Amino acid sequence: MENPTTLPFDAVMQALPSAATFVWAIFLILAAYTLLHASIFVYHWHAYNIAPRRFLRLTYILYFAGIAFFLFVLFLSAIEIAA
Amino acid sequence: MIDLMPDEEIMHVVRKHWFVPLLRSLNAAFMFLIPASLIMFVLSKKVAGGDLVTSALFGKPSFFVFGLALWGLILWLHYFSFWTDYQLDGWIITNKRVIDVDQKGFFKRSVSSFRLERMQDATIEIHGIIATLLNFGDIHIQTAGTDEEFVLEDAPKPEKVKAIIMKQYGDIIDNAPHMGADIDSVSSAK
Repeated sequence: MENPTTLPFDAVMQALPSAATFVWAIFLILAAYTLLHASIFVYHWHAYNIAPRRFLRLTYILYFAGIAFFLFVLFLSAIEIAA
Repeated sequence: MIDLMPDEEIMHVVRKHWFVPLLRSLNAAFMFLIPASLIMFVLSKKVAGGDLVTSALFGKPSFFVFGLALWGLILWLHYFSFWTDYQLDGWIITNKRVIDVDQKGFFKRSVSSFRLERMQDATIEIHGIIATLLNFGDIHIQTAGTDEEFVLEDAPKPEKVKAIIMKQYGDIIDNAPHMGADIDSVSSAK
């Protein structure tokens, strides 16, 4: 019987990028997507908002606080994975 | 921003009922909490001695945190896309017309309006137990000279919104008595 360690799976695994490269690539893609989303979001609210100004500020604060939180957690966990 | 005509005043702004975003918020919260609970469960099993899952992820439990934060961020952005839809979508009732702003996602937006004197029929529909208890429903307005029907779904207090529209309509008709023929058709729709 063939030894499982000689299966092509190992070769495939070795050809894949490292875990650190993988998470940093995902982090950068997600950060770029978030930046794009945020710019379109702000544009829409700036151009078409019919709600009171105070409500607009609250929406911005919540939106950006959430983004900052998740990106921060992603960044810290990516550092830990890469270490 | 909406460009108003001279002497035009905003009388009322109607969006969908708060129950709609509440339902969406609960949905988003569950979508986040269910995988989060599963991950907590798996990690607690690992502490108890099992090592299978973490070794499958290069021996780094931080992958769980990374995955959860990734999922959380996607949900967050998606939820605020919905919130933009909810807030920027609705009817603006002025003393001259009704402006229907239809926001669908970030890249589809239509603004249509009709002058109140062109209104022919106004109907409200309330469907279901929750809508009846919380008092929200659909408002349909048919205008003259077009097959297009203006619809606002899940509007809060539809009777009140209809009353505001009818009052503005009445004010316009009172100032233009030659349009009396239209009054009867609208009154019958009340």
